[in-house]
Amino acid sequence: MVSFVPQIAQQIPRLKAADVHVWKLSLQAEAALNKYSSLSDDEERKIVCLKNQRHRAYAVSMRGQLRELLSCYLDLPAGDIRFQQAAYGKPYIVDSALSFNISHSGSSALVAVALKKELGVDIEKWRHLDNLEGMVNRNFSIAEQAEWLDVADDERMSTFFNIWTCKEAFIKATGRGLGLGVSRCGFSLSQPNKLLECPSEYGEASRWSCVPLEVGQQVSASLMMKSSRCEPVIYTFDPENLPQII
Amino acid sequence: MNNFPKTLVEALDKNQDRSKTITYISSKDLEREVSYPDLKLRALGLLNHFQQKGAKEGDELIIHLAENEQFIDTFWACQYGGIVAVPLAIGTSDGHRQKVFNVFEKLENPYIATTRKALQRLKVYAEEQGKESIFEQINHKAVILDRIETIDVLAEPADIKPEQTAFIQFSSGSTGDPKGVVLTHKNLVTNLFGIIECSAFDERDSFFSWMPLTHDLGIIGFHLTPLFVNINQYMMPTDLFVRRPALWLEKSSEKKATTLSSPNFGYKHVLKRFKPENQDGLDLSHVRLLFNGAEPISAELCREFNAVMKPFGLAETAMFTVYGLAEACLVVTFPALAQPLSTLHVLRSSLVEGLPAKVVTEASGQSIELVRLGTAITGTQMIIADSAGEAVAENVIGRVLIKGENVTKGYYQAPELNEKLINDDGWLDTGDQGLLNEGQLVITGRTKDLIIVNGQNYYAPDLESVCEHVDGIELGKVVVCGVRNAEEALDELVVFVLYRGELEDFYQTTIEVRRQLNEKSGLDVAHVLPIKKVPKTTSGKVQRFALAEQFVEGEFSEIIAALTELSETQSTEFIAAGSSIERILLDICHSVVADQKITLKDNIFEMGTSSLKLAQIHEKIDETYPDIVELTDFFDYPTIEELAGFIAQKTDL
Repeated sequence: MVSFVPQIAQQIPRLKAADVHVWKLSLQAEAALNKYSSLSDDEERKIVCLKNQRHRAYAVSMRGQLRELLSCYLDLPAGDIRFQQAAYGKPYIVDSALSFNISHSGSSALVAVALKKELGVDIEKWRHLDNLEGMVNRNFSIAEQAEWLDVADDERMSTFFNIWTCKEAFIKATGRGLGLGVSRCGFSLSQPNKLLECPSEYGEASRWSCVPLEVGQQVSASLMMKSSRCEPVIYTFDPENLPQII
Repeated sequence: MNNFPKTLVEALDKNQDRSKTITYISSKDLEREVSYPDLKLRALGLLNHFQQKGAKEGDELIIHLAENEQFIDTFWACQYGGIVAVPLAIGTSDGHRQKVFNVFEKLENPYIATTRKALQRLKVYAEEQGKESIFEQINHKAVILDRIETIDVLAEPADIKPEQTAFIQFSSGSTGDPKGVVLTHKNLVTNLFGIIECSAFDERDSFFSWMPLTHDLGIIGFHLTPLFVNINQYMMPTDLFVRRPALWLEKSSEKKATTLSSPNFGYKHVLKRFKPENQDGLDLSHVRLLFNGAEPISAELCREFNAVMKPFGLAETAMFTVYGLAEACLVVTFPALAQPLSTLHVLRSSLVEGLPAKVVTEASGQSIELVRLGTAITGTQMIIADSAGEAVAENVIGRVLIKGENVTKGYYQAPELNEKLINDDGWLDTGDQGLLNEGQLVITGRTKDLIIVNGQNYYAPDLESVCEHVDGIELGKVVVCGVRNAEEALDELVVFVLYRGELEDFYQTTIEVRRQLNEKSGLDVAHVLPIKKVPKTTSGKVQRFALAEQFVEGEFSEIIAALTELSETQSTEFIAAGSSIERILLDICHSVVADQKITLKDNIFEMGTSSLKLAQIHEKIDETYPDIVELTDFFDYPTIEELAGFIAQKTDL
């Protein structure tokens, strides 16, 4: 029998209670605003506000691919997915238990997908920061600053970006954002970076899992989820060959 | 050519060896192989579905598919059924969708093979454009490939004659009245014979391509050619190449492919991203031919590519600079095999039609380097002629005319156009300008209104009609040209607008023209410039060439400088007017967010600024104004103007 299978779709197991899928996306610097018909007016309005052509292209590519990816999980056309924002701006999907969080740095992006609401992800490419010490003093907790003194010079950049992505993933997971104050959450500086302290309204620090994500060279990425167990699986998203959730 | 197949289907029928395959590579680790005998079965199975839908011999079928494998299966289903294949790119811009509608309306009894997703995009476009009724017809005659589950039932192949049309190649990127080059089996077989003979392809060769199958270099050059030789072929999606250009070479190395191709821009794209230090295992010593065509060729870029790839074993004689066009099926001229790049320098000022080009021995600021492209291949004739159609002497610039069994009999349902392009002796005007030097073709320019950007053809009048949507621009008062940027080795888009007012007031027009072309055609515009007069010929035709020449000669340099200054002052005049705190804050923001212009009234959260960048901005502000601003104050004072006001109030400055 000749079966007509035009391509092999990547088959992804359906999410269960504490599972997390992390998708690596590559954003296209050439995407024009009309590349995806699925974007909402609101998304388009925000993208049009971006002044840099490349930023606009990345944003179009991000939103378009995000919708395509989520449509596989939700079994909905990409254009029918509706997003809303919670109190401090964290987006969620209307009428769905599926939770997601996105982050991008340059042309690389991550999308974390899970059933737990307290989910955050962050990716940052390493780059020179001319005020690194000042950034540490201002944004690291007292305990982190103490530990920082022992970090060797040639490891300071990687350590800073590892910790920054942990902090960012945490403030995103809580939904509070920068207003939480990044210096109020503290991590161990050596990997795996455990959450050691956080404002009490977010529960005991030990209830949170922090997982470093291996997504490339000279890049830090972290995932935070409020769950004692968290073993994310990393996939690569291919927009021309959408995954099948089975 | 006695034993050579007379039709495309005859060629595939002959390929009985199951070890000869097409490999479809969809990512670094994912590929699928289909043997030639299996391709025939798949085609016949798919043909059955087309016939169920009602398609008969002689009807047309638009191939509107992004997947290479689906495209190839569909193409062959058409060939076996005697259905005329009409490939149309999926693309991303409205122009691509408009073309589907225009072509569908133009064809006699069209069907369309596509996917759910692509059909959905057509529907959305139809709703926006009020073309719902045409969409209904398209929908009614669409075969949705991702709905097909099995292709067990094989259709009966039709009896195909060499004179039958195999496919129609519509000019890519055209958004106006689409021009379709009609190609018969005989045209194709003639050109394929010439290609194979003049490249000496045999069973030791294999092909690797990233070119889109909607392009003649993809479908004819890198699918039909290896199929006719009955050797292995590999293809990867164009998108994947664009994202990961080095993968093209890595995979070719892995597969030991002998024949590759790319237009000029592709080589440039590879070099931009290629990191020799990450390419330990790369071995290009198997590459015998590296086709370079479909676009003007930069000699400099060829040399750079050769130099970068030399450590990986690429032979210097592999770069194969060729000339061809869809009207010839694919190829007109090939250089001799195993020769290094061959070029000549001519004085720019001597490139005038009808006069001999002045060849110089030393390159200078006044000369340009042109590439020799070889001689006409077997089955094709080519001459350089004057406007009366008479052949001119060596080195004299004229029009490139072609003739032969490979050359199309004309464009689809366009008798007037055909009469203009094909003269009484059967010579077709390619629209290109060139000369013969040492017996070899050298292309010097273009006479038709075609602009090539990134290997895609655009018709200037189509792009002009897009610009007419901008307020204040009227029909006939805008001219779009492709201008060669020699430094960057690419064609740039320059838009000239008839305008007689103050330059300051023109600035807004430049922004809107850029936006229109980007949104409607996905193109980036290099310059939008005002002109006081649209140059026209005595018969009233716009002389795009004259403007492009003036541009290259630098006649617009001053205006460009003035416009650039204007675009800077448009954002800096705020700074000049602002307070000292505002100026300091702007400097801080620009030092962190280097790739964007920020004005006093911009909301930093709406600029896509990341938390880390906000934290950096905050840190720098705190160095200047210690203990005044908290990071969270940005939420309450999200513009520089507001934040400066807040700081002023706190410090009583």
